[in-house]
Amino acid sequence: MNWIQTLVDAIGLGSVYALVAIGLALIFGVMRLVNFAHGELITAAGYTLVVAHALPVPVAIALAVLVAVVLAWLMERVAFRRLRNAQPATTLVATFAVAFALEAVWLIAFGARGESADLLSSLNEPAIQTGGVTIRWVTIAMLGVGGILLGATTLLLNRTKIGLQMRAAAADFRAARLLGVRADAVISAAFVISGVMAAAVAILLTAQQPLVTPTFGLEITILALVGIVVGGMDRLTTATMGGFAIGFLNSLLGNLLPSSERVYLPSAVFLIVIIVLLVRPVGLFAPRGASTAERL
Amino acid sequence: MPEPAAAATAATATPAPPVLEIDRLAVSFAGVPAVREISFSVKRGEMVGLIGPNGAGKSTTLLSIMGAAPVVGGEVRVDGASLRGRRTEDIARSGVALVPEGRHIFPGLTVAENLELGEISRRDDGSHPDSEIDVRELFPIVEEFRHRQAGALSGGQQQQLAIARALLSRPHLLLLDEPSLGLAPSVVEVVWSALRQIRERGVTILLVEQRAQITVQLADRSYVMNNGELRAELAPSEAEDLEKITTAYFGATAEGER
Repeated sequence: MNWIQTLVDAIGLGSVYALVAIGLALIFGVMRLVNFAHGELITAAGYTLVVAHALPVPVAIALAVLVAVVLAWLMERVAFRRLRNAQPATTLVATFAVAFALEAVWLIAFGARGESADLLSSLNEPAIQTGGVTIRWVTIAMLGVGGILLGATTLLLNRTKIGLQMRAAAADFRAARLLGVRADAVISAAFVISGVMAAAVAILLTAQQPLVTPTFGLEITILALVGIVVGGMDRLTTATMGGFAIGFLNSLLGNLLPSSERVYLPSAVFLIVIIVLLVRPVGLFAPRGASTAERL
Repeated sequence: MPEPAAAATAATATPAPPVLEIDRLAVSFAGVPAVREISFSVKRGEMVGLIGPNGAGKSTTLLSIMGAAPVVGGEVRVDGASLRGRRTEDIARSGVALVPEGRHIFPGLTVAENLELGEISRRDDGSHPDSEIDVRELFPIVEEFRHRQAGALSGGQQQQLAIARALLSRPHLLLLDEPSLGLAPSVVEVVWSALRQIRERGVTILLVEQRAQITVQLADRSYVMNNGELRAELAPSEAEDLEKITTAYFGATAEGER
């Protein structure tokens, strides 16, 4: 294990965290809702891969995307829509409730030990091997999928009607509605996109490590949330960079710390986070003199 | 939304209903009344002014027409149809446009994107050809600065953009909330002249303003609102009668209010 190898792996994992961050930041941008239950979408897609592991890979992937998207849409429709005018604290607690309820479902249905979604583990084969550096297919997939989905989201926001409406709603929801922007459509669109992101994360994570447990999506979501706050959560780009940074850092420190010290990994990550927030409370990547006018 | 056929029958058989009817409208914020059972109407092609001091309930009246204020009594009808329980975006899509106080343009979007958002509610069914207005001719700056960030425009330019954006939905009822607020006198003149032209094209207008005298002069009639109530009605001929306007504005205090 050398430095370049460590960096390559960290970039791969950073891309996955960036995808989590995009999903979270889109919802926050449009609704001012920190969707703590986003991790359950990842877990749901993970368990779909477990159940569908005997099916052809493209079918299993399509099913995982479908399940995550439908669950995301349902979450908003059933739980968050009624709370749209509630206090932020109320809606935050509601996202906790949804997360814990779904976690209980996973526990009952699949048990605590975890199930294997052994579908894409062939991606762990090396793709490129030179001078002691091994680049695995899964790392390339993480980078590629991350880049494509980030690009697609940017295009959607900047080039489509619904994207323009989402940006308007994120900047000033009431003004957007006064112009005829349909609140339900914009919010549903944000949840559907976040579902796609969650499915992609689940597919990439299980390719690297196939074990899906009830807290499969929770851990990465908590860490990505921290990354978003550090990066600057009121802009999609800074939030995505923050997500990437925390994934990168986590992977980097995980490789640098000797195995006996690995228990201190979260402490080390959060120590760095605290220092960053003390130095730049508006966000590490927020532009100078940043305001909250532009959010997507 | 009234069927075009039904609207046409109504126009020939019985007199057409006013474009806007406010019927004993009452609005309260957490139990504190902001609008107290006011009633008035605006007929097709009319321009009606709503003047009064800060906190009188003028903006709240406009917002309640758009379904964006907590209405506790009475109702708002547009073209005879009640707006009760309808969502803001649906009211906007039915041909009512509000230029909100403080403009509320999207500063991070370009001028062109702001205008595109104005077109969301446009209905190309030809039901309101009277409100076909070339906003680019009315406000040349919105064309000139098309690709600029809206936030980079001056206050007066932003106000013109906000009005242009509202007009792009081809509204048959245009609600304006203090369009002259915070603008330089020369820009105020641009806005007033645009309003005159918009009215000449037959758009029905409800104008909320602090500048009482010019509003009374410009509008077909004006209501003075204070403390959530309509206190007086003024005709354009009364625009020079400053005493009457002042009394209507502040008369409430003499009656022992507060």
